[in-house]
Amino acid sequence: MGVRLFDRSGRRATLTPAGRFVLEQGRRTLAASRALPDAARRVADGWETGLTIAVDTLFGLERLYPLTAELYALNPSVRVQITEEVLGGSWEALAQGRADLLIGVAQVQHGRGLPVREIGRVEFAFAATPRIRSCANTSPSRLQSCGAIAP
Amino acid sequence: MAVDSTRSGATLTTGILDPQPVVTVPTLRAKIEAQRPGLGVGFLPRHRIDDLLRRGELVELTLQHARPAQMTYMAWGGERPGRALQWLLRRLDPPSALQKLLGLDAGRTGTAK
Repeated sequence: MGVRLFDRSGRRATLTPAGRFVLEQGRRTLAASRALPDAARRVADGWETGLTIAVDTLFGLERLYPLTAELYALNPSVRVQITEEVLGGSWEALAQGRADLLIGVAQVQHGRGLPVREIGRVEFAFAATPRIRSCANTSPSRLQSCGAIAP
Repeated sequence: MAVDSTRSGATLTTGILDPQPVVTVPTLRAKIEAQRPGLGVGFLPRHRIDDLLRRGELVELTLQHARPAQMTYMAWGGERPGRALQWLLRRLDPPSALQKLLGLDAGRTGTAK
């Protein structure tokens, strides 16, 4: 390499900063090259190198954490990416190859030929701060002045 | 008539009636956190606010026009799914397994009108 790795000026040879760098990087390179045949075998066996899951914001991506932990235990070389998206845009992610699995799309889009499975019905509640109780019989336009909505 | 005054995501326009001051936030979690202190009012998925409703940190209002329940689906790339995706699809079957994972089985108290 033409780089001095040891400093021999003292009683004992010590690593130069370049030596420490080579040692550290060398260890990583060695570990990576040892892991490579295993990882290559997994890809040959049909495992993905990466998997992107897009979750609709109705659910929240943190719900998927336990699942990714299970998958990681099964095969640590699959890099799992989770994204949180908003209603509507999700189909694009699949069509454009930005996601492999969509969780929570709102409508089945016919004619695309993509496999779809029902998850279930999401119910909605119209929710407000409890302070709105003191605004009974207040018209919506006056909610702010009665303190139910922060100014 | 009261309408959503908080939005999650720039493209979400569900249940918005103009003109009214509107707060836009990037995620539904942010929308929940905005509505708790009264930064706005609006529709939230019941399963996400079940605990808050029970503890009285949010209250539910009855509207003349309720937002209908929404069916949700999962979808995936069709051709030759890899083994990780195959495992996921098995793991998320039947739908009840996915509902449990997503917390969708919580807050099913009927229509609470």
